[in-house]
Amino acid sequence: MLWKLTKFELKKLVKSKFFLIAAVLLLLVNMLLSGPKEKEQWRYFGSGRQAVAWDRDGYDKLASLTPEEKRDFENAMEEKYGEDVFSPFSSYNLEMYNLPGYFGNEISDGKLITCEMLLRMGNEMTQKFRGEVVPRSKFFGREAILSGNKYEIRRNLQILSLYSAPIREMTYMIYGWWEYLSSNTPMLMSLLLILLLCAGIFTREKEQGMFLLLQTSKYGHGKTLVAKFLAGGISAAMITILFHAGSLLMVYLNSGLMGGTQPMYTKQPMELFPFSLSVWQFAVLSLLCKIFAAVIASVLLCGISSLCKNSVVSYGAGVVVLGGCVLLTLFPPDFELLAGPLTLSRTQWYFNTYYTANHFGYPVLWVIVQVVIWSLVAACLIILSHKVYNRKRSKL
Amino acid sequence: MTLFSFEAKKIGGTQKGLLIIAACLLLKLLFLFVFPEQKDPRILLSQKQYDTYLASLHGMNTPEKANWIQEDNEEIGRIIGIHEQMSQDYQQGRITWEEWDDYNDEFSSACLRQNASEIFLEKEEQFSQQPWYLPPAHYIYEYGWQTVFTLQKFPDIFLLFAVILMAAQCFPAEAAEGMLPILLSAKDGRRKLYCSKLLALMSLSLVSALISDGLEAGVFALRGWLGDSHAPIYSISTFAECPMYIPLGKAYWLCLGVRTVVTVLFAGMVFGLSIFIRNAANLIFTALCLLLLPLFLGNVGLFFHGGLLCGSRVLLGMGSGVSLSLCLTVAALYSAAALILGARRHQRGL
Repeated sequence: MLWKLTKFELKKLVKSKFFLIAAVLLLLVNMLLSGPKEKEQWRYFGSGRQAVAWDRDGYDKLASLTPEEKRDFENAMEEKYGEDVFSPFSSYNLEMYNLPGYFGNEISDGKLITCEMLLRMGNEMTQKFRGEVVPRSKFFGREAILSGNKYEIRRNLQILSLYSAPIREMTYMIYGWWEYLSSNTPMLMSLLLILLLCAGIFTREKEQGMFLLLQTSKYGHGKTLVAKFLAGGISAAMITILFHAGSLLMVYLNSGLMGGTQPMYTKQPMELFPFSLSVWQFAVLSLLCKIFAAVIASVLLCGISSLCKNSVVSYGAGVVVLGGCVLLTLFPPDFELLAGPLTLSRTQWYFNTYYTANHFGYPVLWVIVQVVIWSLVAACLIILSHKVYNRKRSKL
Repeated sequence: MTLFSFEAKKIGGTQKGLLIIAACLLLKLLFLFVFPEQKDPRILLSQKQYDTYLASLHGMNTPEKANWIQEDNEEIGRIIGIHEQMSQDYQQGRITWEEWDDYNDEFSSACLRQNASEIFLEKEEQFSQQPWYLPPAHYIYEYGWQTVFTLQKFPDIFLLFAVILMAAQCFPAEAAEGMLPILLSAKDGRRKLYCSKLLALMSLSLVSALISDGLEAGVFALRGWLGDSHAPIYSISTFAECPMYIPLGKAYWLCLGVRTVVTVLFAGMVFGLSIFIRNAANLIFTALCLLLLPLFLGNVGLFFHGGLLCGSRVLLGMGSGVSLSLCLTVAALYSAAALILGARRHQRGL
């Protein structure tokens, strides 16, 4: 029955003409804003997509070589163009871009040299950053042992085990993914729509005189309330997915996506990303965090709506709460526990280092702490709404 | 006039407009008091050194000051750079204990001054890249102004929220309460009622905008953020690349002035829209979209109310050649169009 009620509530929420128009317009704006940011190198190719496609050929070729073939190619290039041909400051000449190259008419030497040089630079940077972690962690770990700080001992042990794993070298540069991951626009647009949907979810019933009928119905005890919260949460999740998919699609159409299978830590500024997830896996993790943030925002808005008498007050309070959460994301407080639920949408912030909280001497990832705290807050709000709902019912 | 005073009383009193304004302004006051100063974290580590540098460099940038900063930074770099060498020399007996002790004093002082020196070197580099035809920038305590203009990057959401709520209480509230058909059938229920409601809303918006500006400036002054107001705006990092000579104080008042005018224009536009969108919740949503979407549009956003309500963006836009009067005219045209269309629709009735 609950699922039936939820489906009914979802239908009620989404079928409003105003909502549909607003959703389409915002989705279009979101997609337009996710468009290309003019890049210098794209000018030579006409579009970002063509530029990325041009690069991809080079990386594909390099990735298809066996270690022996690659060594032969590198030796041949060094012999032909000088020993420093793969260094970032080497001078390029037009001859490199003539065909046939080392691999015949298939691909020019210049393209392969550029790709190899960029890969080497990227790998060196990753090695440099991650290489510093283990010795430092050993040093801090020793200090922690001397001072008897159990949290620091455990944390440094975990850091040692996470960062001691062999570093996977990058074989493709990462294009497009970072633009998608670092854009806040889809999340902000989703929040606007979630506000429109959820802030009036209960007050609309009160204003239309339906509340009394609901109170007297068979499933009005609490199932309707839970169904409304569920409908709010599901719609928030769907909106977030839709807007992020739109943004990703626009990035794909404009600049193409490359390097999705590369380890996340090969992309600046995520060199200290502690896990071995690839870029696309991190994008999924990031989307999950954003969906969670959106669902929590919907629960807060539904909760406010259930406690308010009319839509104006409910929307007013909703705007203040959402605005406050967005502000906390833009200007994060020093005290981490005060960060609002929307900080979860800035996944990079939680994962660009091994960012943990001290819980009774055990290091726990801050992102997990935030998820637990906000789940509890959401549960409390639903219980409070239920109490208010039933109290009103008993007054009838 | 009677209708106007009645409508003003209704919006402000019966529909709790004044209470909403008071609550929003109170929230704003709290927010402004709590909002942390946007300081460079390096200052927190060496506040005294920063103060000492500022005391000696305070005022207009001159070639002598620029040279002194560069030389001082190089000297600090040199002292810190030779630490390992000096340590080895001392261990191998190539320098005496006195020399090592003197060097250690110099090294400690250099380490202490390093952060402050770097901060001023960065400022000097910023100033050196500014166009030659501009009057020299000033070395000032910039973090107060930085915070002021960081807040000015966003619209005054508290005030605008009160304005949106008041606008949503005009015709949408009448429609929700079933009063609109009665009002439309009354003698003065069309043009006169429309004009009186509009005037009442705009007057209340103007008054609340003025109070809000006064409170904001008061809080900033109390927190000591408005010092050195005669320095040109490009003295602070936010406007380092803004080639426009205007003192910080005047720039701030200009931002407040523009914001006040645009707030009133925005109130007018939302009022005009409220004739078409009679559902209060939908109206609030539409107004929020109109406010927030221009913030994503860069300089183009300045041709919308949302962009003009952000003082820092206005100043940066003016610096890059966007005409403020043109932007204001365009925003006024939007409001006028919404108001005229709204008036015609209201004139036609339901």
